[in-house]
Amino acid sequence: MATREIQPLKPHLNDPLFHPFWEGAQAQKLMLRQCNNCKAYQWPPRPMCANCSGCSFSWVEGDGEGRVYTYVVAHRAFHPSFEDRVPYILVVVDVAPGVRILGNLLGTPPEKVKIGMPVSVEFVKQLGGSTLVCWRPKSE
Amino acid sequence: MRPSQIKDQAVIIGIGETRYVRGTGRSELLQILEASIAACRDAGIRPSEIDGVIAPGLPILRVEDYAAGLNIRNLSFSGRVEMGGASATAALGHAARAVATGQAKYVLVATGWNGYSSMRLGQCGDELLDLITTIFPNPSLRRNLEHPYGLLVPMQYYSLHANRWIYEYSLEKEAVQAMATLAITERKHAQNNENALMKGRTLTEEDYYASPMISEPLRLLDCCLETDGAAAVIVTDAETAKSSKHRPVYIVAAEEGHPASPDDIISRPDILEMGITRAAPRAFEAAGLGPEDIDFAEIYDCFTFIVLRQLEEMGFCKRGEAPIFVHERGIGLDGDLPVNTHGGLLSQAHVLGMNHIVEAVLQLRGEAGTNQVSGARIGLVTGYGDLGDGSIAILRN
Ligand SMILES: [Zn+2]
Repeated sequence: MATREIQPLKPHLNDPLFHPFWEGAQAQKLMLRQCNNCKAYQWPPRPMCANCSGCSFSWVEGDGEGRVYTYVVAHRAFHPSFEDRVPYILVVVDVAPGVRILGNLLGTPPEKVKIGMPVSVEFVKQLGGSTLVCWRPKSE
Repeated sequence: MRPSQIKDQAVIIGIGETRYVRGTGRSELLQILEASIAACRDAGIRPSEIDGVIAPGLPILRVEDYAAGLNIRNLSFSGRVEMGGASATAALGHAARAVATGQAKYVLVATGWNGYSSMRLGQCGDELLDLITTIFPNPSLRRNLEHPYGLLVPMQYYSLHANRWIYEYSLEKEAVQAMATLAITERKHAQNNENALMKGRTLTEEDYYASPMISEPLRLLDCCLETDGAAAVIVTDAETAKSSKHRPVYIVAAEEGHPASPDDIISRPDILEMGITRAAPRAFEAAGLGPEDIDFAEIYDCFTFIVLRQLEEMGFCKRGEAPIFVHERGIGLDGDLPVNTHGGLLSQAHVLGMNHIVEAVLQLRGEAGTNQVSGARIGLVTGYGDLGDGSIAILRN
């Protein structure tokens, strides 16, 4: 029996609202969306700025540093592509005013993840070619 | 915002439930129609007399399906509520306003699903992905910023909330103890309920702590059941209800609330804020009542911890104090606030919270059997879902 590799859940790269984010990740850049009118960060990407109702945006590079706002340790896989990864850690990271981004926390055992811990971005290539935005505890 | 004034103008005159099971060959619609017919029979009306229909819950069925199935010919009010688990109780508010304004005389609120036989949230695979992109808002956000990392099912989203709560109030031990107490208490209540899936299966503290961790801090026994079934209620105006054979159960207030960034729990400035944070003060104000007046509460319990959080956001205690409330005041039948007297979604069945409304009506009619809260006059029902939406209804007899 031929074994077929389980495909990971890929981001939808052709979704115009998110395309520049994923293109940035491919180039090892954390790209954030900013309103051209009021200059507030606009996150998650939506058609209209929540702050001023503007609908013209630019993508700017963030510094890739943040702090963990909250997290979850997943002990059960709800998709086959996560079966060999449990337990895995999801962190929600405050990266800029009004911008919280989810990603996997790397290089940390589940019992070591703490709310408030500083983390740095790390770009991880998925099977299939997409690059995900992940996080690693900030080195001292 | 001024709370809506429906006080005592609407009455729940009929309730109906199917048998709750794990495994059925019957469609969601058939079960919903059966529960609706049972509610009509209980109300003493013919299905053709229904002139208002609200379909709360999952976006799988339309009002037309109900109307056609029940042969309703004179529908003058209809609506669909898409607030996940908060839908049923929110729909009760819509029904009350419709009968209070005379837009309809008999409003049916009915829902159900095959949460075991076809829409299992505990499964693993592509079918689950289809299901969660159907039931959650903003699928493009889900597919882009959440699914690739493995944030998939409701309990994982809500664990983000639970962990922040535990952190902010240093509840590492207390939260888990209260979650265990809640699971055990609801299981106890289910032992006296003939239509509870977990009747006959008791639960000890040892069992709770031995159950597998699924999504920290939630164990398997912190999760609602996967079941098949449906439930329904009929709402009418207070005048029409006078000829009912039942003790009338008045809707004193019913409110809904939506948190900031309602489709995105992660970006919510304060993840502890929920729809019910906004809805509860309005409901209590409209009712002219406070938490101290409530005799029992049927609180939406998709997961144990969210019951504790709702108690806090409704003002039964301060934030971070629900574990103390549970421990010192008591949530069992002999406690200050009996909670989920039917066994809830955790131990009776997951009927999207419609079963909570049915139980509240039974309590206020004095027909709740062994689990009757003695002297129950004022009860509360809540709904929670769809990444944080909330609803609350205050009922009295
Ligand atoms: Zn703006």
